[in-house]
Amino acid sequence: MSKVLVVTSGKGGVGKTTTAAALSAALAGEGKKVAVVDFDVGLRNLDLIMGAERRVVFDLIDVINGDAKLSQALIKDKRIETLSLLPASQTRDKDALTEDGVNGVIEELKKSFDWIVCDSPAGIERGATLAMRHADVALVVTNPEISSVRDSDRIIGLLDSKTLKAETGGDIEKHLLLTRYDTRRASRGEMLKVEDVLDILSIPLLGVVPESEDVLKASNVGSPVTVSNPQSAAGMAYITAAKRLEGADLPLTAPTSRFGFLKFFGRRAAA
Amino acid sequence: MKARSLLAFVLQPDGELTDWLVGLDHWLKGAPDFFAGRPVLLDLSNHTVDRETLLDLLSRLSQRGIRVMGIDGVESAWLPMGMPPIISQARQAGMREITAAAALTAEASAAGEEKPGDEAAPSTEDLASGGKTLIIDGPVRSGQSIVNPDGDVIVTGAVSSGAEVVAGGSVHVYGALRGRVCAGASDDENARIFAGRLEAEFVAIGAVFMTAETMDPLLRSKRVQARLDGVSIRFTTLN
Repeated sequence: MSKVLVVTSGKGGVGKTTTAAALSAALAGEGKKVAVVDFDVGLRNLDLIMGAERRVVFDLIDVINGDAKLSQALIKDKRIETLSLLPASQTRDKDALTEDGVNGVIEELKKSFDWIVCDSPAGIERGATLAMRHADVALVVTNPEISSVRDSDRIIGLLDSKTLKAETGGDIEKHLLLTRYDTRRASRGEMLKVEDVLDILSIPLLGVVPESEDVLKASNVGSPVTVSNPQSAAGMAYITAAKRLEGADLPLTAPTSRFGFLKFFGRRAAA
Repeated sequence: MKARSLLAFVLQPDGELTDWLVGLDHWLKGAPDFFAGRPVLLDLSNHTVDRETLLDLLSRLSQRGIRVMGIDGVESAWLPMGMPPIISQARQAGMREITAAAALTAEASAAGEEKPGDEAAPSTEDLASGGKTLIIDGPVRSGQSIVNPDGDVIVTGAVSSGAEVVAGGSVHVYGALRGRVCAGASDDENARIFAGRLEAEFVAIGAVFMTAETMDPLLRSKRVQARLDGVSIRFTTLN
């Protein structure tokens, strides 16, 4: 049975697109069929992060408008066979994104993919609400700073009220992914600690991705960090997160570490 | 079709209209944005007004940023086009009795401390069903608003920064209280606020309010209760 995952945050610049790309690649690397959909109409970036920008012909809006078939718009990843990207439109009016249209696309994707990963735009407007609309699982990407945490809190409220699952009396599965985490700065009180964020948001923690050069590099070369540098701390954090999403009972700690996972990251990040 | 009910403020001028406006201005100085963006009904059943007086009153309220969306207590026959509609059901729908508020206002002025706001009576559902406690299991998230105009509200989780809880009675928050809370919204001066951890942005009991800035920093992160003490809010820690 296929699952729809929304990667969302409220605030911009916290790492939604990076996460959508890295996680999709990690899930696909496990052999799952994954389609990652960019909902950021007008400000598309996922194609760049995935290194597919030169192969975009049709986009999500074209499919919604019936100007292209889904199979024409999907871009197959060159590195991982089971990974496909459905890019957003950069030029169209974002009002072209309609509830019925999105519904149709998601339903069709469900027929041939195990995971449909929806990369939400920032904010709480139409694009963001439609990206979360059909989700079974939500990944809330948060940076350890108060503005990001409050925006995430707002998004969690929307997930609990505006998604199809919530409206039909169900419970949407929510996970927290803390990104750009710097243990040293957190310990100096310059950013929130993991415990603080969990205390405020009170949803289960899927993973902590350390602030890392590798992520930046990966974005710039158009290759998700889980592909370009899977051995890096960030790459490993995403791969573990993907496995945990799949239901693997992995601890947040690294298997070899006798320390808490935070200490582990702290040592890695400091290296 | 989608429908939802909302809480509206009912302004019921008492006494001479000009005096009432002076009182309103005085009060608005303390809370200039109180009515910004809020639905307001005007109840003129205590007055016999003619068209000119009504138009004048509406424009004066409008100058103060108060936009009236409905009028009660006037004869519909002579209400001209372009005026807010008559809301005749407001009363039957369980509007709070004004006598109690009037008494409270009198008490407050007798004490020499003026804290009106009593004229802003919230109203929504049927009062007869009132007094029921609303229990929210889990947290109240930023941007969410929980309103129980006639009874208590119990939140088993936290109230996030940017969230709002309004109760006619008391508010109990077992988690951390980081957002805004208004207890005793229907003039229950015995209403209290209980917080598992006080980190509130704003608390109000009845017409008295405090922002985080004016709260004692020693109370921060403590388990506290708040109650009305005359015209101030008194916090005590709970153990």
